[in-house]
Amino acid sequence: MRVALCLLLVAALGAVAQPQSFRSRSTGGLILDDLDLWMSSVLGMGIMPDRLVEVEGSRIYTGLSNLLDGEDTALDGDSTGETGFLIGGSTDLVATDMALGGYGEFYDHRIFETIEIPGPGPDPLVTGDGAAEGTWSEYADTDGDGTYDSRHTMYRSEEGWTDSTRTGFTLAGGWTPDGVSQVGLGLGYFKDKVEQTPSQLNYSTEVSDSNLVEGIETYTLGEDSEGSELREGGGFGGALSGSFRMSEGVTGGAMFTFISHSVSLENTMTASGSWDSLPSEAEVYDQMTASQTWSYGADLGGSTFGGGAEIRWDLDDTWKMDLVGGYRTMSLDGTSDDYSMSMDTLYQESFGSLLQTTQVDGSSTGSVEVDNSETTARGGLRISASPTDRLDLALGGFFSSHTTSDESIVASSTEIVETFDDGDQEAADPDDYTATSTMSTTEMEKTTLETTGIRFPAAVEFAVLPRLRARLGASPGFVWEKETQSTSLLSASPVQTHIVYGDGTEQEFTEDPWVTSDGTLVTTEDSRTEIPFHYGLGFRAAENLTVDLMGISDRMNQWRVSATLLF
Amino acid sequence: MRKPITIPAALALIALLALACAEDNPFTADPDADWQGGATHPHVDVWGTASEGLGSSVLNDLDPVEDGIQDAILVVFDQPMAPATMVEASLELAATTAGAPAPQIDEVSYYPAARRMEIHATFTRETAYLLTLTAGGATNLAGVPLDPNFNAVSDGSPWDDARLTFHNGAAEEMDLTPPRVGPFSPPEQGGLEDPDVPIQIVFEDGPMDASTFGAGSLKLLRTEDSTEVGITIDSITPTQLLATPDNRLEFGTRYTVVLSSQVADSAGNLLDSDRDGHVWPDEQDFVWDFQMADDSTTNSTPPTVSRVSSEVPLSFDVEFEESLTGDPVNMDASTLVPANIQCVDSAGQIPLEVGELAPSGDQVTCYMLRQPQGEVTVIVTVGVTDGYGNPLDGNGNGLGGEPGLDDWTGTL
Repeated sequence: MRVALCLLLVAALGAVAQPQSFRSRSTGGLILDDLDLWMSSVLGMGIMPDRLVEVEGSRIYTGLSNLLDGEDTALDGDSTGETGFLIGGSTDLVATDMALGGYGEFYDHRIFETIEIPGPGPDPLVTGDGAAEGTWSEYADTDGDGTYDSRHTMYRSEEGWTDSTRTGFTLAGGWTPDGVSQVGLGLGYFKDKVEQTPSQLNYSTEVSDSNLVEGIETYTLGEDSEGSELREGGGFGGALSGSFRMSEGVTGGAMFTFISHSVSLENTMTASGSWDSLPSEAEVYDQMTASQTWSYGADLGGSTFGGGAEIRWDLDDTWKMDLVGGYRTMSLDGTSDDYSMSMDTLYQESFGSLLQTTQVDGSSTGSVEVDNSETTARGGLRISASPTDRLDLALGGFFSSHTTSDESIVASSTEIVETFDDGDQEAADPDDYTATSTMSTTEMEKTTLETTGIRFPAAVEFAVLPRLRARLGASPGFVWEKETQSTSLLSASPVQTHIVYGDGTEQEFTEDPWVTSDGTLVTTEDSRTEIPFHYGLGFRAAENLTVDLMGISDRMNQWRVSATLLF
Repeated sequence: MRKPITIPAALALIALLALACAEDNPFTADPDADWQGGATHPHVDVWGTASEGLGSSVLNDLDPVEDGIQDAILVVFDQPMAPATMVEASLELAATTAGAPAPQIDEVSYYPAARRMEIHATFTRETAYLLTLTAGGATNLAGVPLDPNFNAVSDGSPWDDARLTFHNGAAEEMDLTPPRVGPFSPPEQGGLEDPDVPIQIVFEDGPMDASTFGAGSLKLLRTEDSTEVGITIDSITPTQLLATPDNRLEFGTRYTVVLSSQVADSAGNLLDSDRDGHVWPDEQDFVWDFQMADDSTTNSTPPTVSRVSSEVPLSFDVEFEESLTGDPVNMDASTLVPANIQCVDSAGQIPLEVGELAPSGDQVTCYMLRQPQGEVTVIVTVGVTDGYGNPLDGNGNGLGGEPGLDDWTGTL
């Protein structure tokens, strides 16, 4: 389950979010800014680089543009500002018939886990972010003579954090050979890395009991664990688009995109521990040592293909109509054969002059097959108008369908061998034994999500003041959603235990009754109406500066700001 | 009149379609339906003849019309066997009566439900037979071969040849039972007074083959350094061996007698030294110790624990005495340490502090360094010695120092 979850998360990294202007965000995606024109157009299936030539002048998107995710709250004085940034721009100054655009996005962040070290009471001994450790002791006067006779000391340390990095570059160019037709090419590259160091796997514990009268330790315990989960994803791709005049006032556009994805996953865990009930006597044993290792690695690969077409119709000087349709599909699959787990435990107990030992060795190996896919289809109509210089409005009707499917097949086989030796060196000893237990399972997990929507967005942008424009948008729609999560037991064998005693006697047990979970299915089906609202402000602060606002409320520290330089 | 077959056929078709369209349970259980065991070696459970039933080895003529004795040998296994191995190639059937012809096997069959193999053959009157299921031939469904000597290991032939005998009339069957050691002397104990004590071993399930008692088949060793002491085998009868030390045995000395596991009975069956009914390739020699009593010049009688008592909470006293005689002893204080005096409760070992040896030299007080949980078991190990270095004799047989056997155990 855990493995499958990790793979799903990694697969999600393959989807590259494209920057979206505050103007578009504030109007439900109906009224486009310069950036949106070539980043997505009305089609919304990916970059359309040919439309760069429609952006007049130059745009510079800096850290102030807040385009990485639009969530920066620059006016929040308490914000640490620890997040990523996106910088880029576009220009038509390279040549009269050409325009270039591009951006780079950078994110490098460590999120610390909040650690709580438990104490002797209900309250934690210490709480902190990242790493914490603490020791506490309890003294007891067992014979009531007024002096402490024993001490129980416990030490615990934990550390946990998640490191995330992301680097991406997109470069696009558009060319209009005749001033009417347009062609464009875009190239992109991205790399993501997430390394989790959870406190659940990274800790150390020491326990010590002492007899204070004799000054000796009467019990010790130690346990250490280290582990991490590393997920890396990357890819590169390209987009080709073009526009051409179909007739007077009617322009056709089309685009095609391809992205190659790769994902690697590496999880490791190593833990060891021991306890000793008689640490003061080196020759008398009542102690156990144990260790466990777990590792898993996987390499996945896949690709995204997509394309679409637009018809842009200038109905008159005021009214325009866009008819769009597109399709996009992504698949990611791979197989891992290096899943392995091993554990060994040695328990030694003195009984007189004999040293009894119980050794338990376990190993588990297996493989994981992953097959993830995602398809998106979108089509619709937008009608927009600019009746006056102070007013822009748009209406639309869009159909969208989005389907994701995540399937994993996990196969594992386990063998545990327990060996007991009573230490008396007796030949053919019926007290000694070796017990071997085996089992295996192959399970499939599959999650599918189908979302179909029909939306009728409407948006308006109007000038409140000469340099200040208000934006409103609403995207009412009908949404049908169906999610299924299923598990299936493909094959299995019960726990089979074979015991061979020292005198040659054999016993064999089969798990009885053998209960198997043959399959489960959870279906969530929903149909609903939605009407998300959007709003914002756009302020032309100067000839070369626009400032856009979102998240406007009575708490200014929650306002989100985007500033763009234009020439 | 023509029967209306069109309508029923259409209805049947609709019914079939309805069944085909019914929403099936999507979760199909698919466990491993193959043989789920298989690691355990199979064994012959019981055998017999068709004429007399299971448990009998007597062959009779079931078809008087035909020449010879027509009967079948029945072999029942304790596990389902692989039918492909239940064939003539997996067995040998031979006459063991001198001059008798080999039997003619007519048919070998296997009945899985009863796990029974049947060997139909024509035998000869007044003849005994040996059936051998050769090692590695017959296997269970998982391919694990028979393990007739019950050591859970595939040893190969002859160790894992499963042998069964049958007979007709008064013919004598071959002896397949391995010989074992019965009573022996001197007994496994200390305090023996007679320095001329003979070594006597009685055998069961013989008769023994004297020719297998070669040089070195019987040894007398001085236990302390394993040096060999000369002995002479006076006689070997089918049921008994008698030997005498070449010289008088020394007082206060411990001796070890070693009888080789390679001695055999007249049928060639090797010694079953551990009396478990089976002979393994690594069958151990038959070994025991005895110890001569002390005289005025020796002090080799070991100490033992006479009593453990607890008068004060969290402490107990251990008292020692000489084994067999009960005489006082002087213990070696340096061996009275927590490593040799242990205390165990339900939580495991209890840390101990061992006090000074009492002036009498035979008593020591121990202190528990934590509160015990439940019943407390005291263990005094063979690491404890008296002043002469004699290790503890926990089981009181006059032979001290045997790990495990001579640890003294008691509860408070």
